[in-house]
Amino acid sequence: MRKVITLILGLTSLGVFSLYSQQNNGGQVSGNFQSDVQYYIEDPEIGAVAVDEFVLVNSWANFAYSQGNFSAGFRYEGYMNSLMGYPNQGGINDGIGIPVKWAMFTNDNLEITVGNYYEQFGNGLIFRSYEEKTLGVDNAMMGFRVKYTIAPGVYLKGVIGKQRQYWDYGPGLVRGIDGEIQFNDLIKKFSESNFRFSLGGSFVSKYHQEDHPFYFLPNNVGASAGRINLAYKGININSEYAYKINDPSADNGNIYKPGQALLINTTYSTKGLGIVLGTKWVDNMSFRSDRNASLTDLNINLMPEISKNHTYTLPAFYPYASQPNGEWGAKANVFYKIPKKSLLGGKYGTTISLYYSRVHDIDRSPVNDTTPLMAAGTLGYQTNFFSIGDEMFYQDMTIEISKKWNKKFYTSMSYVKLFYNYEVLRGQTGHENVDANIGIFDMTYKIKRGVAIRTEFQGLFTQQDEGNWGLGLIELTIPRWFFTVFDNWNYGNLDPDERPHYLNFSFGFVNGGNRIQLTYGKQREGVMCVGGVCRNVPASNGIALSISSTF
Amino acid sequence: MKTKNYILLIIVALFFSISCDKLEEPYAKDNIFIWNGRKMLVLDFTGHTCGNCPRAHETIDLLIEEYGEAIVPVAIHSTWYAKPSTTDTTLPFNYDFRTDVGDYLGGRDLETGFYGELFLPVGLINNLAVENLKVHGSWATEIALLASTYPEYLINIEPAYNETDSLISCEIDVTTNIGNSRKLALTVLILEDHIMQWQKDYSLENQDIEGYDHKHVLRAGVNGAFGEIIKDNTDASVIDDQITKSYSYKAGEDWIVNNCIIVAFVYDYDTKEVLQAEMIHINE
Repeated sequence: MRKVITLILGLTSLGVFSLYSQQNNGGQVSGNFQSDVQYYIEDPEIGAVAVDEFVLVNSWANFAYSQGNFSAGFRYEGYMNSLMGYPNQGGINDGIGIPVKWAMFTNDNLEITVGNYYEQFGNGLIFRSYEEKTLGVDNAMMGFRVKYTIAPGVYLKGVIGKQRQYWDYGPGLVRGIDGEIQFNDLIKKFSESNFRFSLGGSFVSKYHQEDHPFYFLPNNVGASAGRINLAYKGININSEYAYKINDPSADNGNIYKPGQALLINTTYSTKGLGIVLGTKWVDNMSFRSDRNASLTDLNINLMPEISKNHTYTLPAFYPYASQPNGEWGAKANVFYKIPKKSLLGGKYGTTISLYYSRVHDIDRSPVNDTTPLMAAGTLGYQTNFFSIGDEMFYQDMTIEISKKWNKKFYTSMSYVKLFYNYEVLRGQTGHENVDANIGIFDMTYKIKRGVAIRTEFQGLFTQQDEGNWGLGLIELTIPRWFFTVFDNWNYGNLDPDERPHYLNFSFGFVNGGNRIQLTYGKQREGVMCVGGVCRNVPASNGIALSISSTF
Repeated sequence: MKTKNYILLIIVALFFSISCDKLEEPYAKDNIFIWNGRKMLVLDFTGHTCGNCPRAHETIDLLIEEYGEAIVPVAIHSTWYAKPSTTDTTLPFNYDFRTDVGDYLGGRDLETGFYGELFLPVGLINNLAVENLKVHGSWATEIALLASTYPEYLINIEPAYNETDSLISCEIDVTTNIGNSRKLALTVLILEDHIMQWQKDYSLENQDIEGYDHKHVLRAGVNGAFGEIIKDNTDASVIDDQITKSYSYKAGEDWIVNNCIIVAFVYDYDTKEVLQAEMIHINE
C-alpha cells in the first residue's frame, strides 16, 4: 500500500536537497530501494576470484515527492565497493552519495525540470538519456528541460546540460530540441479517424572543446533526425532517419565522415495474429559528449536493438551488442494463436511465435586510391546508403510454442538457432564464430491456488566456444515464498578437464512491495546485454543477497 | 499565442544555425612544437591477443613522430590478453610477455591488478594515479598539455652490461632543475625493443600477425612497480641538487640485450605526477 504523507523537499542555500515530513496536507511520497550483496569465493575451476573486501555491495534508493503541479526527488546510490563486472575502471564507480536530484513543475502549457532528468527524442537515434542499473549505465542529464505544449498534439521540448559520468559529469555540453505534431489531436475532425499520423523532428548539438594536437576537431557537433508515424487500424509504421556531421572521436578512430542511421519498424496486429517487421542501418553514429570516452560512458544516443533479448539462460549466452560504427539489421516476428477448440489449439488455444533477425556489417570502401581504409585524419571510408557488408555479425532464428493443456498444466517449448560473430561482438580474440542450436522445454504445474511447480530443461549444442551445455531447473512457488535449484553443466566442453557444473540454490520471500532473495551458487563468465548495450559478467562463486522494496 | 509561437520558431532556427562546426580538409594541423626538455612517460597496457591494441601502438608511433625523444613509451603486457594461448612455440601467441610488475599493475589472467579491471588498450600519461587511466584516443591531448612545460628534474642514466654474468647495471643521477619541496620517488624499468612475435589486429583481414614488431616491451621492474622514495617532502631541493642511485639486474635468458633499454622516471609520491622520464639503450 502506498503511504501518503507530506514531505517538503527544498534546496538549501548550499544547493543541497533536504527533506522533512509533516502530517498529511495532500502531498505524496513514493520511493524504492534495492541492494545487491555478493560474497565472493575463489574457485579456480571456473576462473572465479575472491576480492579483498570479501563482500561487495551495490545499492540505491529513489525518493519522489509530488503535490499538485510540483514534484521533486533524489536518488541515493552506494557502491561499497562495486560488484565485479560493473563498469569500474580504476575504482571510478566506488563511492556513496546522492548523485541524482531533480525538481519539476508545470504551469499552464509549460513543464520545467531542473537538476537531473532522463529524456529521449524519437527512437533515441540522436538523443537518449537513460539509466540501466543491470548494466551500470547512467547518463542522466544535469541541467534543465523545458517542454511547451503549443497546441493540442503539438509540443516542443528543449534540453541542455552535462551528462553524468559515474560520480562526476562529462566535460561536454549537450543541447537539444525536439518537436512533434500529432495530427489527430491537432485537427479535431481527424480525432476519431482510423488513420493516425504524426511527424517529429529533433536536433542535438554537443559542445566539447577542441584540444587535439594533430587534428582540427569540431567544438560543436550537431545531429538531426526526422520521424514519421502512420497507423491505420491494426497497422503501424514508424520510421526515423538521423544525420550527424563530422565527429572524429576515439570510437571511430578520428575520421571525419558524417554519420547517418535509418530505422523502420512495422507492426500489424489483429485478433490472434501479430506481425513485427523491422530494419536498421547505422553508419558511423557513435555520439558521445566526450570524444575520448569509451565503453558505456557519455553516450548521447542509443541505437535501438534489432535483435531479440532472450530471457532463458542458454540462448542469453550469446547476446547481440550494437555496433554504432556500422551495422545493418533486419527482423521479423510473427505471433499466432491457434484458436481454441480447434484440432491443434485444444481447449485453451496454442500460441506460436516465429522470430528471425540478422545483422551484418555495412559495406565500406576507401575514400581514394592513396588513403588506407579508416585512416585517421581523413573521411575514413565511403559507403552507399543502406549498403550491406559481407561479414555477418549475428543471426537468430527462434520458434516458440506455448500451450495451456488444462487448468493446472502449461508448457512452453522453444528452438533457437544462433550465429554469433564472437570476435566482433565480444571484442576478444582466438575464438571461432559460434553456431549454436538450443532447445528449451518449460513446464508449469499448478498444484493448488498459489502453489506451483515449474521446471526448465535447456540444451545448447555447438562445436565452437565451450561446446555443449545442459541446464535443469526446478522452482517451487508457495504463497509469499519461492525456492529454486538449477544446474548449468558444460558437459560438452572440448576439453574434458573443463566441464564444470554451475549449481545454484536460491529462495526468496515476496510480500507486498518487499522482495528478499538469497542465492548460493556459481555464475559462468560471459556478457549480458540490455538493448544492445553490454557489460562483462565475470565468473563468480559465492552467496548473493538481494533486497528490494517499494512504497 | 501566435506571437509566442513565432518567437519559438526563431529560437529554434537560431539554435540550428549556431550549433555545428562543419570542417573541410585539411583536417591535420601543422603545429610547431616547442620543447623545453620535459620528457613524457606513456604507460601502455597492452596484450598480444588484444586486437584493438595495435591502434594504441599506432598512437604511440604518431606521438614519437610528432614529439620525438620527448616520448618515453612503455608497453606493459598484462590482463587476460597477455596470457599465452599455448606453450607450443610453433603455434600463434605462444610467447609469454608477462612480468611481475605488469601483473601487479595490470592484472594477470582473470585477476585484476593495482589499477583494477582494465579494458585494453588503456594507458597512463605522465601520471600514475588510477583516475588518470585514458583511452589511447586521448593520449595526444594529454601529451599536448604538458609538451612545452619545463622539467623540474633532469635524469642522466649511465648503463653498463657485463656479459659474463648477464648483469645489466646503471647509475642514475637525478638533478633538480626547478626548486621544490616534493616527496620524490624514482622508478627504474628495463624494456626490450623489437620482440618479433604474434599480435592480433582486428583491422586486418588476416587478424593474426606473425612477426609483429613489439616495441618498448616491459621486461622487468628493477626497483619494484612503484620504485623507491628518494627524497621526502620535508627536504626542499634547490637547483643542481643531485641524487645518485645505482642498480643492477640479471638479464633474462631470452632477452636480446642489445635491444634492451633502461627507463628511469621520477614522480611526486603524493600526486603521482611524473615529473621527468629518461630512456637509454644499454649499448649506447
